[in-house]
Amino acid sequence: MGYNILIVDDSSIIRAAVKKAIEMSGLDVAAFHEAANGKHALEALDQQWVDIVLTDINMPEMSGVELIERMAADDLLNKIPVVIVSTERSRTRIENLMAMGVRAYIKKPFRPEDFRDVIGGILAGS
Amino acid sequence: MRDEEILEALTEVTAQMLEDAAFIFTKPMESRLPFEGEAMQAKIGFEGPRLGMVVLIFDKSLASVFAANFLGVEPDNLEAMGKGRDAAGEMLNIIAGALMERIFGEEIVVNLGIPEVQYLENLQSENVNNEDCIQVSFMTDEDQRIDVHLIFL
Repeated sequence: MGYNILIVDDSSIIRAAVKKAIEMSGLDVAAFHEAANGKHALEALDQQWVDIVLTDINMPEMSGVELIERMAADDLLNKIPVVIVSTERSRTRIENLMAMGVRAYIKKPFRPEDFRDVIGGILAGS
Repeated sequence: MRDEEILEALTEVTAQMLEDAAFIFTKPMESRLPFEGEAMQAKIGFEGPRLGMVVLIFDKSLASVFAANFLGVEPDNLEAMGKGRDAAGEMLNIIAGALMERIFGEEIVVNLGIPEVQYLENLQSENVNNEDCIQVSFMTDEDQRIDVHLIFL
């Protein structure tokens, strides 16, 4: 049984690179779903269940922060773990996001083992 | 941070991120000639203790290299083709994120904008004579040029 993973980033190449890195990490994935911003992510989450959401922060139309806020406010969606994948590195911002319920933060540029260690740990515990 | 320290940060961070994210190895150019020929420009704004933007100007041929290397494929791979602009924007995003941490520290929140990428045909740019602009030029192993500008507004 594999995991369903939603990748949220306005860059199609980053979505492809994340997908490739996760495939290389050895994680058992049933399906990848993609969204170009927070609004599209919520639409995707309305259509299918996912086991984890990986999201960037800075995106047009709806940011990753707003996506996290909307998910946290929903009784069903707040059960889905969220991991930030971003270029921003401020410790203050990371701590603020963790306080909002984000489970982990992966900095760009990333390596396959970053996803194996982070996602594997979160999903194994859920 | 003094200008010399910012220049050092710009040089080191850009080179390191090009290597880590795109496997592109560079050397800083010792003398800076005007950038000529077909190029692309990517720029991103930032808001933190200071406002500004980071601008990347590079040989057009590098866009497909960024895309291919992000994906771990050859530059003529179908998956990489057509994603050069996107990849260039993301390369700048990665450089800017690391640069903000190096310049302002890991505690300070700096908001980055969305990268804007455009083609610049027949570009002949002189060095930006702006005392709030710090810039460095690199040459890749394949003799492709990359200029990075840090501009405080």
